[in-house]
Amino acid sequence: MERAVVGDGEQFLVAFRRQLQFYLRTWRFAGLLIFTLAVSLIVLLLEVAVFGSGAASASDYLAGFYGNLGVDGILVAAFLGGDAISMDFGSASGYYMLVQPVRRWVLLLGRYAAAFVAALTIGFVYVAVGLIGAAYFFGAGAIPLGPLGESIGLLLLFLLGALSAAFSFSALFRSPAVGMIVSVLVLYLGFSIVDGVFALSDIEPWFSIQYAGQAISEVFGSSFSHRVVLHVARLRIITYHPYPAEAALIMAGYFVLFLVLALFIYDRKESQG
Amino acid sequence: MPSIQAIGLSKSYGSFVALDDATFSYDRPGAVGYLGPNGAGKTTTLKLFTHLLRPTRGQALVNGVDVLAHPKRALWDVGSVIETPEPYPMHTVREALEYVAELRGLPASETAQQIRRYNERLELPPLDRRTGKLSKGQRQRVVLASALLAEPSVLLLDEPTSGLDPAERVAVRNVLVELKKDRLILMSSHLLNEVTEICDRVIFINGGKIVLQDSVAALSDRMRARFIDVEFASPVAPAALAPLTGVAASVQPLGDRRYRLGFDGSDASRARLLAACQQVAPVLNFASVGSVLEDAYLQLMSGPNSGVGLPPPPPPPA
Repeated sequence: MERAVVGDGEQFLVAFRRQLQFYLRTWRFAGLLIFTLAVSLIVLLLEVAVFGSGAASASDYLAGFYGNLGVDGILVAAFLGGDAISMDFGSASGYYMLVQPVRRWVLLLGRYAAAFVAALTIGFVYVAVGLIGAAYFFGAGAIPLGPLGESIGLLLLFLLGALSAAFSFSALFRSPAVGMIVSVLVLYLGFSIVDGVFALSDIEPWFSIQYAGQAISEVFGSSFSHRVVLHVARLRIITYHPYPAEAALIMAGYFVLFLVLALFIYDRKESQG
Repeated sequence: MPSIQAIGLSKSYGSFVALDDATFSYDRPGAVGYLGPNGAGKTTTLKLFTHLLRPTRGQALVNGVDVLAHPKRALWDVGSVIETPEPYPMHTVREALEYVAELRGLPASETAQQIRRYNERLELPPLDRRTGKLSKGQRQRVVLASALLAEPSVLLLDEPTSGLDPAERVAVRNVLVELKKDRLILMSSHLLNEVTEICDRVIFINGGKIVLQDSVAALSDRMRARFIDVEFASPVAPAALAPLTGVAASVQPLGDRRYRLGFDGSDASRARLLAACQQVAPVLNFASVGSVLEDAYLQLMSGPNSGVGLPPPPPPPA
């Protein structure tokens, strides 16, 4: 039966919709959503019932509350994207999808967009709970809209970059589960260790997305220093804090470089199983 | 007309040659059986035709389109089942089928109609069940349905009845027999009787090399059965087999009612043999020993790349 070939754009939308349907039904999405909601609500409840906000303004409050967004974003990206490529080459799912008349980059971009929306949903839950807290303690009118927009923009870029990195890591491993675990370890623990080591060496870790992620909360801060020197006992520790534009550049770099790498690998990889 | 063509198609992994210079061409509807032992190169060939692997040398063409150069266009009119595919486990059967249909541009109404059609013909599992909860046989039927949904002109099937129970096999076989009337099917299988029933032509491959391509009819001429087992309605003493003298080349008793008879394999001798047996006693059963494909397979696969064991083609009729 003669049928006109479907365009790449239309197939991207199909892949996006079906992959999103898949992601939203996974246990990992439900688990991450519940975890994020539970942690943020527990923090808020403890502040409301026991400790108080501990902040002088809504800006300070949000700077503190969103301090964990980078960590949460890394975990979400690693869990959602850590098996993005290996799921088609380390399991039999690839034999179902890769034989279809669709360009591989279209399939992967559809999956990437779906993972991004799923990750963003979780990120926004955390942002929303933070805003509820700020409104409770300081009134809704006190929430600084400019920095809030800047923070959300950085969060979007951060999730794009972290997902790109997770997608690329997932190509290195045959087993989807291993890919996911290694992505979590590299993106979260690996960068934490590297950032720590560089803090002792007075070198700005501009190559670390986790470093760039600090800017998501620091845009709310009333005082900002790019380089801070701390003396702990006889130890001299230098911590760097990224400028918002610098952080955006690092995140955008991760987004573009790792996504191109992931698309290239996905396109060239063979199903040798 | 649907077509598939392999031109010097080769695939190597380092020094290991998985497929060596495979060349074949089919350009009309029908079913081609692809036979060979495990590791012979069957799945590798099918993966090269579906862009799951890239050839080291040569070309795979589907409907005249090079799979490596234009995979989307080449696979547009192809349905395939390679290895044991698994749809994404969180999708229901209906969603897994709709996903494929949408990528292939089927309108929603036609998709629903096709799902209904193959639900009846292949007895799919409940459409709202998650594919991750299906048995192997159920999943295989869903995957087959996904390959057939868009009515492609070319079907590439890697052991399509693997994991199915006998009733499911019959259902799939019936579908394939009907489909081959206007489509080209290339299917690998270990089930020689299934290939005999479905396929018109066969390719034998061993050690990565194609060792024989022929039609099943021509192969039948070359591989005529040389023995027939006959079963009489009542016990027959060897002395009562006198009518077989001069007709059967050999007579071997298998029981008091059963004998194995040797003959030259021709249809005329077979008819004479049956007539002679009926003079001995009423005949309950009269059947060739083994099958054409089985005999050919065993002879061809007796050594790597060996195609020398087959008898020569019969001389043309005078």
